[in-house]
Amino acid sequence: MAKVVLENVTKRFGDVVAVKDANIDIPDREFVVLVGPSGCGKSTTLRMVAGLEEVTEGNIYIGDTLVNDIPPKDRDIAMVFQNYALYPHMDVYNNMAFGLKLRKFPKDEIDRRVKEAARILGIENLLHRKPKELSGGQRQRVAVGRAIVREPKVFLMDEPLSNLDAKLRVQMRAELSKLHNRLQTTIIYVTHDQVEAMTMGDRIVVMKDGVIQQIGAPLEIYHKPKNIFVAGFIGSPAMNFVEVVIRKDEQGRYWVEHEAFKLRIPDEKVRELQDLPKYVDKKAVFGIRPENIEDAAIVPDGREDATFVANVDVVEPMGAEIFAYLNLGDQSVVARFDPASTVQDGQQVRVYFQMEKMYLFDPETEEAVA
Amino acid sequence: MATRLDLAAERKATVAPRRWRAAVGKVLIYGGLTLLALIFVYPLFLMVITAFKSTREIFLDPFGLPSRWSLEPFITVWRRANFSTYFRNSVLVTAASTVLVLTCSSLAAYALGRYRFRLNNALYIFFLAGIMIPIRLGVLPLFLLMRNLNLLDTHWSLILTYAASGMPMSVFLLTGFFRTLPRELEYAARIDGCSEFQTFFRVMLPLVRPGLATVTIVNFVPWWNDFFFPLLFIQSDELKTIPLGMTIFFGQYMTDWGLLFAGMLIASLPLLLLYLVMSRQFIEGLTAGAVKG
Repeated sequence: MAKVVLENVTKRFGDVVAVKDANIDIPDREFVVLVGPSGCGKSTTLRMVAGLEEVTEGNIYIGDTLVNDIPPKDRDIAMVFQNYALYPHMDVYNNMAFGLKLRKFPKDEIDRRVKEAARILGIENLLHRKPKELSGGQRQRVAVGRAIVREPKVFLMDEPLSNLDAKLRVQMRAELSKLHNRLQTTIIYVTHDQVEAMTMGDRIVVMKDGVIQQIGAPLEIYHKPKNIFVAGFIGSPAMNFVEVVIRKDEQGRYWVEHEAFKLRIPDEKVRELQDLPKYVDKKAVFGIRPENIEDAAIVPDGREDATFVANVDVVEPMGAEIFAYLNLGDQSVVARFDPASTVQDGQQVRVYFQMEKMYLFDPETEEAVA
Repeated sequence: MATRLDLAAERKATVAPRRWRAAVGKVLIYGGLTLLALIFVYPLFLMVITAFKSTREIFLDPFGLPSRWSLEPFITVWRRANFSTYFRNSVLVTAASTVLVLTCSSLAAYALGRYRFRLNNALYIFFLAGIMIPIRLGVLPLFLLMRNLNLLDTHWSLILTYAASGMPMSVFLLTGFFRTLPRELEYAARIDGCSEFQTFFRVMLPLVRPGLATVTIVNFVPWWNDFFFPLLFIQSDELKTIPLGMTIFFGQYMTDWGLLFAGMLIASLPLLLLYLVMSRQFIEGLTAGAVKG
């Protein structure tokens, strides 16, 4: 049980900067998810916390201790790996007991902890099997068991669910969340899957190219992404981006203009975006999530100045929802319609954009317009 | 209905020749393997039956079974001269060399296979170069070296020579094995609390057991059978190994072939035993289950 603090942490491999000036403050018992595309430095960050990689610059604290020069075994951490990394020559019991044996715990204490962990994870009947006799999901549980018997201050998990099939992954996701509630330990979790990040994390750290893009609670990041990358990475299907020009008319109303549409920015949004006047008659990147585009036939009270007719390229009925790919001339936009929509491939459809949920980004800096 | 029957008939028609072909394939494979096994086993069999025969019997009927089965030749060989001493010496020298080469080469291979350091590749190539140089080319310097170290006519001269000559191949083999182990295993061990040596000894080394078995067999056999270096280094009779000691059975005027074969049979038993024990290790895929797959 401990907080973890990363202070201006940088990692360089030769000339390559893997992690640049990372500052993360993780309070005790928090479940933090580091998320980003492969090669973004998230695993390297985790390995630095574990002590498996040296920190080039900056400081890492676990609890109140500066751990930069402390070897992994003395950091009181446990780690779960993507490929499980179970010891193939030991049975499940010994895989879990190994760390405790090395630390010279008394035999009955080891036995108690291993059996307790096995009970929590439902692997009591597997204790005397070798890893090669287990299925992927079972191996995964053993790997988690090996971590929890140690009762460490911090759990580190490096894509622990990525090797599981889709169904099992969803199940284990919920189980890990339950486990966190039960153990009340700090967890740092690395994944490239934004769904895992959204569903499991108390807070999310979004990384790209070794740089932290944004840190925040899942919904905070979803609703207030700081830049185009975060906006596009969190949420599925991804947010739509359209290059537009901002217009202001004589009545002082603001519009986003594109060859396919001209939509009014609602007044409350105008008040919110204080920098908006700077973009008048200039290019901006307009962002809208698929779930904020409606079939106007189903939302009849949609505002007229936020509605236009678009051509539908393809319709993907998913049962609970319908994904419609709208053709806006130079680019395509995904809309997530209510399943009641009757739109068909190749048809025209009146779409309504929930403009109060729009986003605006600067085309140069890619930052959200403040 | 009719179509279904047609389909069934058609399937039968295609299945039958396929089954027949599979059967022929099996016969060929097992026939070939049996033939191969005979080729390898027959000399052993010949050695066994010859060991029970007298010299006269050997020359009269070389391929026939012995007229009597008795353990006498073996007891005679064991008692004759210093055969039991030779046997003990052989075991001692070969075992010590094996232990030494396993220890040194696994440590070297672990470093070469898993650590990133500047001279890694150069060192690896240095070891590889050793494979290309036959150790017998170095006989003269070796002899002088042993003389200067005062090791002539000791078992150490043999043990050191054998271990050194076995290093290149062993390092080469084991480095390959160590390289295949996933890095995460090493990480897991370090986080679980292993020191560097414990990571090596308790986690990584058990996983290259097939490699260690290979190294043992590859080295053990030529050392056990070696005649050359004992001839070069050993003078005292009580220090001789079996291949050198066996020369007592070759007389200038007469050779007792029966006793010679009995001695050879005893001498080959440890090798047969080693193969029986180790061959399982060759086959056993120990890393299975370490990672996904």
